Amino acid sequence: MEGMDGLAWNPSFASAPGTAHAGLFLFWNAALPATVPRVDAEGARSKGSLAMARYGQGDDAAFGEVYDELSPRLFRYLVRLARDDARAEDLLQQTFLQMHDARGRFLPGADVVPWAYAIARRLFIDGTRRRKRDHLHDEYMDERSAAQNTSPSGEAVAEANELSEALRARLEALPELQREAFRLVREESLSIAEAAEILGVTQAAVKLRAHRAYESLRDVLVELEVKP
Amino acid sequence: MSQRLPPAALRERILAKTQKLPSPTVRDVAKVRLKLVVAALIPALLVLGVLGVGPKGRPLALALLVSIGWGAVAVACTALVFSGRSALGPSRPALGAIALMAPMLELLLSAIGMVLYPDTWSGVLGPKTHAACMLLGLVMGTAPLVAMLVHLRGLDPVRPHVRGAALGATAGAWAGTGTMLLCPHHEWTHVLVGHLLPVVLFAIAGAVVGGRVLALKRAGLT
Repeated sequence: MEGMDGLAWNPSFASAPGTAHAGLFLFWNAALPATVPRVDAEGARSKGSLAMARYGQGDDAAFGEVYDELSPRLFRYLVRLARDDARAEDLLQQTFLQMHDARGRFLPGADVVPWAYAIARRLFIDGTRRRKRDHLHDEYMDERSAAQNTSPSGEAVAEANELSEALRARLEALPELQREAFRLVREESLSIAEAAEILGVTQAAVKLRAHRAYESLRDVLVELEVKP
Repeated sequence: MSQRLPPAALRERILAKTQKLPSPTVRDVAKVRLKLVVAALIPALLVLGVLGVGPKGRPLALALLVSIGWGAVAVACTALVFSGRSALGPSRPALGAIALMAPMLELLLSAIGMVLYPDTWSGVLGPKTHAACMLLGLVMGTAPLVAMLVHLRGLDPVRPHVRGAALGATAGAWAGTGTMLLCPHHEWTHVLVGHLLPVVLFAIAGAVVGGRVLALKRAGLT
């Protein structure tokens, strides 16, 4: 059950294997890109936070460490959000430059991870709004669909893809806050407290939203008659 | 399953950009913060210096109660709004509580003073008197609000409006403390309009302006 720590707050998330919940997690792991193991996440947190504090104090070499610790996680997060590697790279660059710009205000002893995720998320949201305003969003979606349709498929791969797409579609259809709570807790392996900090809501709200998202995704399995 | 990683060239590109355009360190920010604090105090010190500070006919205990009480609220708001272990600042509920509780606590302190020491002012307290105190409050509170907004500009990715409201209430609390040092009146309408209304106005202005000024901006390096 590794990887479920972030959802351990709810007994239904920690169900024994063989239940519909466990089935969802197995399929989720199979259908979507791998999540970051919790141990790595915590390692990155302490190293990254210490390096960011040093960078804030003027140790220029420390920013490379901050980048090395955080960039893989942030990049995966941004790819999931943007569904476009090029855009994710641009957002990653903006995120780190923002952190560089604000280094003098980084609180020594603070956790750099929620801060970095919150910046990345905000830049993504603002960028998406700007794109919509400029009528570029539809073009972007078309390109995305075209890219997705070119993937190779065998019978097993096709089934996995179908399930993956169904889960993805349901996830995309969820209210934004539910979707984001689920992503941060489940896909990014962040704690409830960290997700609450990034989203600017209470921990109870994150729990509730992630749980509703989870329930909704479980319904997809029922609809597709996937046996747990 | 392989994990996607950002391209190696991106690291070099980002680090090259950061070296090209250095950003302020903690020490640089501390220097700017000191200048902002001084700039924020100047209008209030000028007003207080010109108009004079004192009980001005009020019982000394009342003058001390409201001045020290409102001052304590201002100090607490300032400490809370810049506190927290998170790089993202205080939580949304904490900031909201600051914005709401500051004027309520000040009203409570003034209400205690007004109940204990009824106003003995024999003259007429008209709109001009209320407006004068309101204007003084706005003059003394604007610089602290601007200073705090400048200090935190473009840095809040999560809750700029709420943080702006908390900063506004904090600036309003300082302005209210200043007017409490100056104003001899302690009558309900006057306290509500002349002293508390500016605090509320600063909180609203902070929310509106802060939403734009504090919100995360794309770094100038991109």
